[in-house]
Amino acid sequence: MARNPRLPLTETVYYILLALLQPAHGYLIMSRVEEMSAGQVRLAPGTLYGALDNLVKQRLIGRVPSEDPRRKVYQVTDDGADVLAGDTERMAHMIEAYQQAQRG
Amino acid sequence: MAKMKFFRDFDKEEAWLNRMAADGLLLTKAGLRYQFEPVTPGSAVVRVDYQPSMPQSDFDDYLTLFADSGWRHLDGSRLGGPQYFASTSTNANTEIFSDEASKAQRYRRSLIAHGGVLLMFLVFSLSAWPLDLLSVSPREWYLTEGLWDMQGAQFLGAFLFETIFVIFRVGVPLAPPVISLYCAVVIAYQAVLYRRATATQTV
Repeated sequence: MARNPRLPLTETVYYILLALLQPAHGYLIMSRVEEMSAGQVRLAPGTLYGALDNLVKQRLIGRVPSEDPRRKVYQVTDDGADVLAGDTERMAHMIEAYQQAQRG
Repeated sequence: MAKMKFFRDFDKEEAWLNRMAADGLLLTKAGLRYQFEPVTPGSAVVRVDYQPSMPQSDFDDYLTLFADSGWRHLDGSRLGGPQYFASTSTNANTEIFSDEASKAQRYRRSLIAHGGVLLMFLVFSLSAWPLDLLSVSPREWYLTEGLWDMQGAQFLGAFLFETIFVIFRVGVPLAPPVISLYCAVVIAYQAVLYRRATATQTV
């Protein structure tokens, strides 16, 4: 199967897409990413703002209606969900390959 | 309290603003003339981002994201340019970028913005190239009859008086080429800074 040319995702992008399986605004994305990564990935606002901008341009995420006019809300698109699943499979395969190598 | 400074290197600008903050002077207005207010020395970290022009609703969202994560907007226009932030007391973080790659993108955004201005003023320059002004000696920009034969105070008075008009008559047509040149220099300089910022990254 042809691999999606967008793979592999960076750790930051992977967690942002994962956080956006459910709709969220910027600050909520930051807290979700920090929590899901067990505190390992802490996004600063300038970095997150640029990443969201890029992901919207790549159509991996999209705007959804927001009740708060000062906070835009995003969610993954179908493309975004596919890329996220594809990267998860890629990593699962790497882990499997590692474990097999360990068993010798 | 105000100081005149000119920066096109965001890292150097940040370093200078933080030295001022460490001495108890926090930025209130940036640009060629930087204005400051007295604060407790070392109570705030100042950081600089760069954003192109954006609609008011986008700008509100941008500033809210920074405010939510503990950064107060000090100065910067939604019509584009550097954006200045100070950490608030509740904020334990000292960076607005969590990786070097996204920090380097400041220069890229600035390069693109200056490229747009350059293109616009190049079109102005080429469509109205002030050939008649550039092909003659600057002496001929002065139209007062016999100006260059006058002596002493009479010459000085007439010369300075007409200079005011020359600045407008010559300055306005020369502005597009001068602005184009300025943009080209900024682009070249920031391109070097951008390359340097991205070159330090590992794979």
